[in-house]
Amino acid sequence: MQLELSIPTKPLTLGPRRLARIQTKEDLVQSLGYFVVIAVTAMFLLDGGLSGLVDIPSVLDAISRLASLVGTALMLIMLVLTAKAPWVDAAIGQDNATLAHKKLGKPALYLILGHFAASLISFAISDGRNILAELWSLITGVEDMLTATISVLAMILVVVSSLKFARKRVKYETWFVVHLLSYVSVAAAIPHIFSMGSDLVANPVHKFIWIFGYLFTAANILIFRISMPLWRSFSSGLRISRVHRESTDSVTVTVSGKNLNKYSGTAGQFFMLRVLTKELGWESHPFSISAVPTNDKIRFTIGDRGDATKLVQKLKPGSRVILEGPFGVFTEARRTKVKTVLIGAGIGVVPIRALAEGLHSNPGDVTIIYRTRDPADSPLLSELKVISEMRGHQLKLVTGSRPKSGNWLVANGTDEQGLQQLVPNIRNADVYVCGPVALTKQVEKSLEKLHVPKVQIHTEEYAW
Amino acid sequence: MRKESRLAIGIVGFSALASSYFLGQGNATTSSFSANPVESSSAVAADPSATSDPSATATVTSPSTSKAATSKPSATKTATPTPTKAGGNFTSGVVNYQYGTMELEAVVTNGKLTAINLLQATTHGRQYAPVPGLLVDAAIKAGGTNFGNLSGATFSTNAFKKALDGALAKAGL
Repeated sequence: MQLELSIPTKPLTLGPRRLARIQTKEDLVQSLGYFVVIAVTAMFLLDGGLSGLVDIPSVLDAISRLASLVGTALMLIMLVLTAKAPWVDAAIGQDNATLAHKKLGKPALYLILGHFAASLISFAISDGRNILAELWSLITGVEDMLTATISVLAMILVVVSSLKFARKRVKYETWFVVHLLSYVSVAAAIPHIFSMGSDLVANPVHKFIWIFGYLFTAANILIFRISMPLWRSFSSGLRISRVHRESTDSVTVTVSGKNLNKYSGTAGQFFMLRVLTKELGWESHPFSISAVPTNDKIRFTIGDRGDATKLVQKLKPGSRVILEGPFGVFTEARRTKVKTVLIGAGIGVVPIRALAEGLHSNPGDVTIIYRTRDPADSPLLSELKVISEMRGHQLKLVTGSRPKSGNWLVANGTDEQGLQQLVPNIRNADVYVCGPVALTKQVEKSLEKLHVPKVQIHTEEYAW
Repeated sequence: MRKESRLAIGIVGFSALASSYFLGQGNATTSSFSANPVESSSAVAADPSATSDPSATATVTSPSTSKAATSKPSATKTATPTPTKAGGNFTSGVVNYQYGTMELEAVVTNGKLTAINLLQATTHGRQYAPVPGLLVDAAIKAGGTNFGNLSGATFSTNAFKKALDGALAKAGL
């Protein structure tokens, strides 16, 4: 087989300083989130928010204020986490950002609900009305209260529709449209925040912090989530140029265009692909690139199962596409050691194959372990063989179904022993693992038993 | 996040919050106002000056005097004297809000807010009549708008603060 490989030529410096830089970037971006929450709480305290609590209404007011400050801060953080911003992706990886976004959902909701309830009850006590009458009086009598109530209702809808029980019953597209209400919720709250927020009135510093926060969030969304993918995809003229069956359950799709270098990404990364046809235009799927991109081609290999089955059957060359990305830190950017181990199972071999081509290496530096059921029907196996021969990688194929022992690597003995034999100095190597969740966890356990430091273990899950 | 970073954030965050809390203690003169001293009865037109709420402020005879009497003893915060001795009467703009209008005149002597004359100070209704007076007291005590919310009269507090800010801005404070 003839393969045109993009072999890296620029020198790469590895080592502890590189690791320190990687970790510092990650820590800085994560600290930003903590800093925002601490800052708004500190401003609340400086304003005497927790002093002079003498009776129920004043306690409720304090709760309402603090809950709204932290809750809204969390919501803005959540929006930035899913803005698909390159600086977030480079620091922590978009998949981790999405996970963090999911984790913040419930706390943010509880805080906003707490704010809503506390302020409503406080007003009800002061005005001597029952809760419902007070709510009605506020909505009908006070201008920005209607939009504020709409905001909280929209938020409830968004979070409830995202809970596990709801996701199971609802199509992805439906869930997505409901989820867009988050933008409505955040925007609808703005009027009452600036016209009635006790913390912002007569506190220009605090007001500035929030104006800046909203503008910063909006900018990230408008630029990175909305404009950039559209602009790039259309100005590059991205289209499907080739669809080719790779194995029984995988298909290779090539997207072509011009001037792709600026954003075509590096081996190990993935894009969100949206095919602009009537049937497929509503969906967007994450796919890993299966070769190092060139200035006019980005190649994906996708598993023909589950969500992607319909996509694959309906793909035709010539269709325009929109690419969002590149995303992911399953790349050489996280590499700090010379020796590297690439472990791929099933369709997880896709980024592994790309890394095999794109990593800086001398013969003997890289060991590849490919777990697959049937060597005669394994995606990208022939390419891996050619690459390994050309670049001097060690390629180990592990075939057949799992042995009775439940091991993932060897039939006899422990996986750790097997791994140790294959890569003697694995403690001093970077290990990239990609495959089904259960298998990835098993491999990670073996690596832990061999005392491979966590910072040298890189995983890409196909589950998120 | 690295362990050291986590620790650093914890220490810095805790210190920031603790200092903010203590600085804020002397700051706010938040008091509470209740227009309905009798809890569930809505037919009672409570006499505002005879409220049974123990934390309610002392009686104020007319809304436009500036007596410095509040229920909660707290550290007085005076405006920092400015090098230029500002003095004079400064009128705020008219601030309309949900329950009425606030318009006041700030009296500044030697760079300090010494009195406030209420030109327009309408609130929810009869039961809220003492509110403007309480706000004036709090403002004099704080030397400006740097005082806490008057719980139970959030909207009025905000409107009052907006008006006072405008007047003080004219005084260059």
